Order: sequence, then structure tokens, then C-alpha cells
Amino acid sequence: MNRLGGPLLELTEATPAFDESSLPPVPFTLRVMAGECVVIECRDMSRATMFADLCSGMVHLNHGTARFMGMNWTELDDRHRNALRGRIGRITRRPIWTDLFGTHVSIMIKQLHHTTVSIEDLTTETLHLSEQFGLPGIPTETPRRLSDADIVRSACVRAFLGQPQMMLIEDPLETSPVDLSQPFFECLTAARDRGAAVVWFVRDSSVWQPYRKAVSALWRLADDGLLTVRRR
Amino acid sequence: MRGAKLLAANEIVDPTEQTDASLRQKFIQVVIPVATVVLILAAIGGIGWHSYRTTREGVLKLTHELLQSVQRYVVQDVTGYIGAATLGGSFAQDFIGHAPAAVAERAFYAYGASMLRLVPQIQSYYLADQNGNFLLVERDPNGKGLEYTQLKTDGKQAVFHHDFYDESGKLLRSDENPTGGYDPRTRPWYENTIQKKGFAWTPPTIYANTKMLVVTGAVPLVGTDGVQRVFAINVSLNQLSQFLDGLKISQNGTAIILDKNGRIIAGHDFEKVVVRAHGDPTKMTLDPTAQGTFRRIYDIYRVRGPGSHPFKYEGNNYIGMAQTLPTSDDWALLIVAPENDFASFARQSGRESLQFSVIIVVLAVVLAGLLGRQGQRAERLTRQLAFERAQTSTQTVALQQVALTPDILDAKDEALTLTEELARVSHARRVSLWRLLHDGTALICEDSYDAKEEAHSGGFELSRKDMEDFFKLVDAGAPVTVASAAGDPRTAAYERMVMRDNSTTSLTVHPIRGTSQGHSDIVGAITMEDAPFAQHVSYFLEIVASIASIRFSGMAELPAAESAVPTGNDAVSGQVLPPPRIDEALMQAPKVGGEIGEGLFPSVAVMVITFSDPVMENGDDASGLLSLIDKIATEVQDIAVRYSLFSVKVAGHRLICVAGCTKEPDPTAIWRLAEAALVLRETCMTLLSTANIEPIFSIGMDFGPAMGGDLGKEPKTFNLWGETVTLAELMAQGAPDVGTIEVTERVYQALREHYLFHSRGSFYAPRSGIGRVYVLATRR
Repeated sequence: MNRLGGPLLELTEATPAFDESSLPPVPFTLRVMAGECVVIECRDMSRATMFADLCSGMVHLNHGTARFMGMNWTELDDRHRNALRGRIGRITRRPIWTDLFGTHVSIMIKQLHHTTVSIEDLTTETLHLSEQFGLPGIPTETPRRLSDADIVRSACVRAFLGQPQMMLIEDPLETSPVDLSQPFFECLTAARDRGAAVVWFVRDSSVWQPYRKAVSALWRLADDGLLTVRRR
Repeated sequence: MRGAKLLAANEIVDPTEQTDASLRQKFIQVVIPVATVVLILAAIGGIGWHSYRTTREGVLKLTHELLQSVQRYVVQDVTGYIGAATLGGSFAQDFIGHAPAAVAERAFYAYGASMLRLVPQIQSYYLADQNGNFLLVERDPNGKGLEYTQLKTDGKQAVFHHDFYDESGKLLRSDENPTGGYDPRTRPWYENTIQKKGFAWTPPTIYANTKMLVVTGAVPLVGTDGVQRVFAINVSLNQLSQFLDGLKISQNGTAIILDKNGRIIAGHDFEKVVVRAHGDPTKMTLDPTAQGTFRRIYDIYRVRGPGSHPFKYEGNNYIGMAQTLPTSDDWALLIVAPENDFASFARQSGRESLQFSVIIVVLAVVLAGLLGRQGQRAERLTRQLAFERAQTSTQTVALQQVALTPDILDAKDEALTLTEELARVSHARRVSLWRLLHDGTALICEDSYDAKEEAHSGGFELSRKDMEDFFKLVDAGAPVTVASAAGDPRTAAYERMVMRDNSTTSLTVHPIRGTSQGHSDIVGAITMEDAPFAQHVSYFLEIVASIASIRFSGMAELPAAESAVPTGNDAVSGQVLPPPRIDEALMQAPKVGGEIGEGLFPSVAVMVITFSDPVMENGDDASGLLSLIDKIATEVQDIAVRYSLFSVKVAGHRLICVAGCTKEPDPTAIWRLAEAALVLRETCMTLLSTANIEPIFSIGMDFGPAMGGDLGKEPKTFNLWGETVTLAELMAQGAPDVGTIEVTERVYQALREHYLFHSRGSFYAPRSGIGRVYVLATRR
């Protein structure tokens, strides 16, 4: 795995097109280094979703650049852009689960698509994460038949699977019917130790307080853009 | 973690690869020069072809004009050649016709003699009249003089009277011979001429005296005495053939003359024609094999008339010309010349241009190659620069990381970052820090970092007596890189003992120089295995070595500090340690339920309860918990007795309850255990809430075969293992929420009649495969 000297995620005056993203068309500037955890407070989680899209190079920019691992999203061709997205682990509020396959397929499909890892290794890794998040195994039912809590667990497994270089997390703890904070913080810390950058979108400060000592920076995403917040 | 490591390494598409740029560079370096050379070649070829075409057209045009001149010249010459007959005939017609009858004979002789002396192609002259008189003048076949022949009739016998004259006109001798019935009036030349009433040609014949082919032109005349006469001239065609043969049209150009019936009058290789026809003039036609080109132009001439007719014959281009000869009997002059005779120099010129072009192209290719090579060198340099820049950047980051590590120089703290960063910048598989003992007898591994496994290890020792050569290498103090550690005697022992497990081959040894007992000495070594960038990290290696030496010097003080403390045995001897608990069973198995067994139990019900650590607020007394736990344990014992459980064990955070350890299947075991689980849950909930603690337990159950038995010496410990126990533990760990009882499908099948469950879904686990998981809610 490549470790970079520079920031893993770098937004430089990135101004999204409002029509497409409904994000405020103001320049966003953000740098997240390897191992850093940046918390972004955002009351409107759909906006957080769009901002995570922006970080993943899925939002058209009117000005500025969005770089991940030193690579400008707009300068890559589709093939490399998709491959690069394979290095991002994401938990999103957007409905992503499909009932066409079992949940296990949805969890592992990113790795199956982007890598040549053997099914055996992938299953071992998935099982390990599943157990860590309190699942008795890898869920094979369709997502519709899983409980809300198990869906949140599956989403966490899916995001942390494959040692992603960057985590874009729209907070799962607040909406979870069960307390997943312990395995979540464990995985988060492990990922950061490995050199991953974490962007964690939360609705309010109560969620991240237990982890406050380890948070590198706090921002607030509002109508007027991304503002840094002085931590108390 | 090994599997996880593979995930990143096995990306199908590496997004960081710079394919576009390298493709563009390849395009610039290869495609453009090649395309340029091809274009140059095409341009040169095109110019050459165009030049060849233009030259050829020009040459052909010129050739055409030239051939027309040649044709005019040939026509003129042939006309002149046979003009001796036609003009001579006209002249003789007038000269003899107007001479008095008495001198007509002498006039004929005089005219004929002078003409024969002057015009070589003329063979002879005849003069015949309607009365059968016949005069002949010809060259003396045996000498240089002339022979006059006259048909005389002495009485009834007709004879030829021959008078032979020398060059000066003096009569040498006379001779006579019989005519054999010769009558000039029956000869074709006489009859044709009388019939035509004008100048007439007679088809070629072999002239009897000279055996040469001649053609006879004759003209009628009427003398002053009113007698009809015919004056005839024999012109030698051999002379004409020699003349045509001598004509230089081109290198391979030839000419031929045909009469109106297609018979050869004269031309190239006429002797062969005569031989082929056996001297018969009527058979002297064109030979289709040897004279195909003439046949072709003759055919064209007959269809299209006289003129210039280029044609192709047997793959070659020819220029053919045909013309009807004036003053002849519709004779045709045919000239054929291969186009190559004229255009060959254009081809030669084209070939030479091509050769010159090839030289130019070769030079261009050499230049392009030099240019490409230069480009590649520049690119290599750029790559090297970029590589070095990246290397510098990596080392800077690594250095920063080392600098930021707190207490890096404190020997008491571990400095794992040193080996990690060194492995990162050198791309080494494994980096180890070795400390040399004071007496130099052993190297202690302070830290060894395996980059592939991302794992640290250390503490092992290498003894000098085991690997003297390696220690000497370290003692020498100079950094050494060995490509194949197994093959080098200095590092072979190290390879065998350290590297073989990891299958690494190359080794870099960097001795650490430091202060030992007041003087500078080697205090240890850094080893890097399979480090491709080892030579690029020398200064970083020096820094790490310096830090390590400071740390080692700090470590050297530790034994002294330890020695100040009383020995361990003395310190411990004062304390009273509790006796070791070798059995953590809450219940002795044989004492409960009267069950006993050993080996395989067919239907064991296992319940695992996992407790997590309670959240302790600041200021809470942890010792208060102990009574709570004790209370729970007591309750568990009571429940176990109440429901006749076989065994209850505590293992760390887990409580394991077992029922049904009998040789025969016990259908009530799972029911008893389920009841116990429900009661236990309620009890725990109540006790924990009383103590104001969140429910921090979850319960898992399974039902099935298991192995078990008493183990060890007295007091023996009963233990149970197998898939049922594993699954029960898995159920407890994976329970959906705290305080829930998660069970496997087997438990559900056994208890669904009496209890309420809700399904959690299907889950996959290795070995057990996909199975449904249920949550036990309550009794029905």
C-alpha cells in the first residue's frame, strides 16, 4: 500500500456546481493527512452525502481541484477513477442496499470488483469484521430481511473491508438501534494506524465526544461553506 | 491481517499507474520517428516514381519523333534505292523511245552499261519488243566488266549471243547458247507491263545467274518505228536487305519491308528468311515465332493503316511504325523497336535515385535512432530525478516521523518507528536492530519489523560462537550489501538462522558505531533483508544508526540499575501468594445432576454468557463490583442446581453452562438450559439494574454433539469442546443486542413448540456453512 508524504485528501478551492450537487457553490478547502480523523458537523445529512460525493470525485467542480492520494479526480480516466474509488471505504445514509443479492454480496462486491483477492481471504476478512461488529457470521439474507441494527453493522463491515485508504463516514452510531461505538472506534483507530484518512460526518457533537481526544480537526459544513470550529 | 494485506496489493487496476503519460511518451519516441521515416520514404518513392514517369513520357515522345525521323530517312533511302528502277525506267522510256530505231539497241546498251557501272543495286536491264527480240545487259559474273546478251534467230534456231566486255569497254570474247524456247513476250514482267500500260513491279524472283533475289520493274515504250517494247530493270533485294540491316534504329530496333501480299521483300536477317523459304519467294512470309513483333505491327497496320503504333508483346512494350512506301507496289515498311532501348536510361536513372534515396533514408533512420536514444536518455534521467525526488520526499517524511516520535532516545521506551520508517524508505522486507553485548559474544535483537506482515518482534539472540564470520563482518564496521546471503560465507549462518523463515535472499548489514565503556566501538548492527533501495538510504541509515547507538548506550546502563534492586527471590519471598487455581469451575461436574460421562456426548446443550467490562465512571470504586459479581455467581449456582445443569464454568469474561452430557441423548437438556437462560437473564438484568449498571451481557446457545472428559491430575478438570461449544460462543459474541439470547437453528428446531423466537436471518460462518440464527424471546 502506498503511503504518501502529502495529504491523502486535498480540496483546493473546490467549488461544486450547485445545480448538480445542491451543495453551496462556495470554494471548499480541506486537507486530510494520512492517519488523521476529521470530524465535519453537518445538520443536513443529505448535504454531508453530497460532500462525501465531492471528496470521491463524483461532483462536477466549477473551479478548484479535488485530489485523493495526490491524484486529481478530473484528470483521471474512468477506469482509473473507478479503481481509485475502490480505495475509499464509505458509510452513507443514501439507500445503497439492493435485494437482488444476499447482503454478503453487497458487502464484498467492492473487493470482488476491484481486486484479485481470493474468495477465501476475502471471506476470512469479512467474517472477522462481521464478528467484530456483532454479527454471528456473514449475513446472507437479502438486506430487506435484516434488522436495522444488522444493516448498520453490515454497512460498517462493508466500509472497513479491504483496508481502505480513506474512510468517508456518515455517522452510523446516531441512527443505530444498538451501540456499535466500541467496534466502530476500534476499526476507526486501526484504519488510522494503518495510515488511512478519516472524514466523519456527524449531526451534532454528542456522537464524537467519546472519541474527541483522537479527533484531529473539527469542521462545520453549512450554507456558507466549510468552517473550522474551535474545539472546547 | 495477512489476508487484509493482500487486499491492497491485488488491485486489478492500479490507479496510480501513469499509463497515459507513458503512452504519450512512447508515441512521441517511437511512432512519430517511424511515421516520419515512412513519410520520407513515401515522399522519396513518390518523387522517384513521378520523375521516372515524366522522364519516360518525355523519352518516349522524343523516341517517337526520332523514330519518325528514322522512318522518313528509311523511306527516303528505300525510295532512292528502288528509285533507280522507277526513275531509271522513266528515263529509259524516254531515252530509248525517242531514239531512232537503228540506234535503239546501241542506246539501250549505252544506257544500261553506264547505269550498271554507277548503280550497284541494279542487277540487269532487259529490253524486249513485240517481235520477240530480247536484249540484256548485266554485270559479267566472272569479272568486272559487262555482259551483253541478245536473242538471235539464225534460221530456225534461236540462240543467246553473249558479248563480254572489260572495264574499258573492250570486247573480250563472244559466246552463244541455245535459248531453250525462251520468249520474252511470255514472261510476267512483259505481260504485266503491257497489261498495265505503265510502270509495273513483278514479284521477287531468284535471279538465275547470281542466285540472288531480285525484283523486276518494267516500263512499256513505243519506239519511233512504232514497235511495242518493254524496258525492264532487275533490282537486287539482297542489297536492300543489307542496307536495312545496316540501318541503326536503336540497340534492338529492326526494319522490314513487305509486299502487298505480306511477303518479305527485304529486312533484318533476310538470309535466314531465304533459307527458311528454301529460296522460294512465295514462301518468304513472317515467321510467327521469330518475328512475332513484326506480325503484330503488320496486323495493326492492316487494320489501322500507316502510322506509329505502340504495342505490348509478351510483356514488353514496343514502338511500332508502319508506312506504305511510295513509288512501290504497295510495299510496307515496318519498324519495331523495344521501348526499353529508349526508356532504359530513365529506369536506370530511377534506380539510381532510389539507391540514393535509400542512402538518405538510412542516414535519416540513423539520425532518428540517435534522436530516439537521446530522448530515452533524457527520459531515463527525468525518471531518475523523479525517483530521487520521491526518495527524498519519502525520507523527509520518514525523518519527520522519527523526529515526532516522543522519547525516541529513551532506551526504556520502544522505538518501533525506527525500523518501520527504515523499512518504508528502503522498501525492505524486514529490518532488524541488533545490539552487541559488551563482551561481544552475542547480538540481541532489539526490534525486528517485518514489512509484509506489518509485525514487530525481537528479543532473540545470535551467539558469536554460532556465526563467527557474521560477527567479524559486524566488527569490521563497514556497511556491506550481499546479494545472496546464503552464498556468502560471511552471512550464510545469519541467512540460515534468521532469513530462511522469511525466504529473503539479499542482506544489507550496517554496523552501528557508538560509545561503549568510554571508547568508540561497534555497538550493534542494522540488518535489512531484500531492500532494493538500500543504497539510496545511506544517510537515513546513518541517522537511524546514530539514534540506535544512543539508545543502546542507554540500555547498557539498565543492568546496573537492576543490580541495585534486591534479587527477585528475596522480594517475592515475603509475599503470601494464593494457591494456584487450576480449576475455574463453579460447579464440580460429577456433583451435579448425577450425570457423568466421558468421550463423545450426542446431544449437549451449551450456553455461553459473555460479559463485557462495565463502564466505570470516575470515582466509582471497582471493588464494589466484586460483591455484585459474587452475587451473580451465587445466583448462577442456584439456577444450575435448580435446572440440573451438568457443569458451569467461568473463563474470564465468559460463563459456560452445559447440560446433557450423557451417553444417551437427553431430550430435556436443551429445555432445561433454555429455562435456565431465561431465568439467568432476568436475574442478571435485575441485579445489574439494582447496581445501576447497563446490561452488559449477551447469551448464546447451541445444541448438539460435543467431546468432553476429565483432564489432568486430581483435582481433574472437566472440559468440553467441539462445534457446539464454538457455535454457542459465536452466538453469544454475535448477539444482536445486550441481554439477548441468540440461538442456532438446532435450538430453534428443538424448542419452537414451547418458546417464542424471532429470526435474525441467515449467516455464513466457515466450517459450519450458512445457518439461520434466532433470538429467544420468551416462553409461549
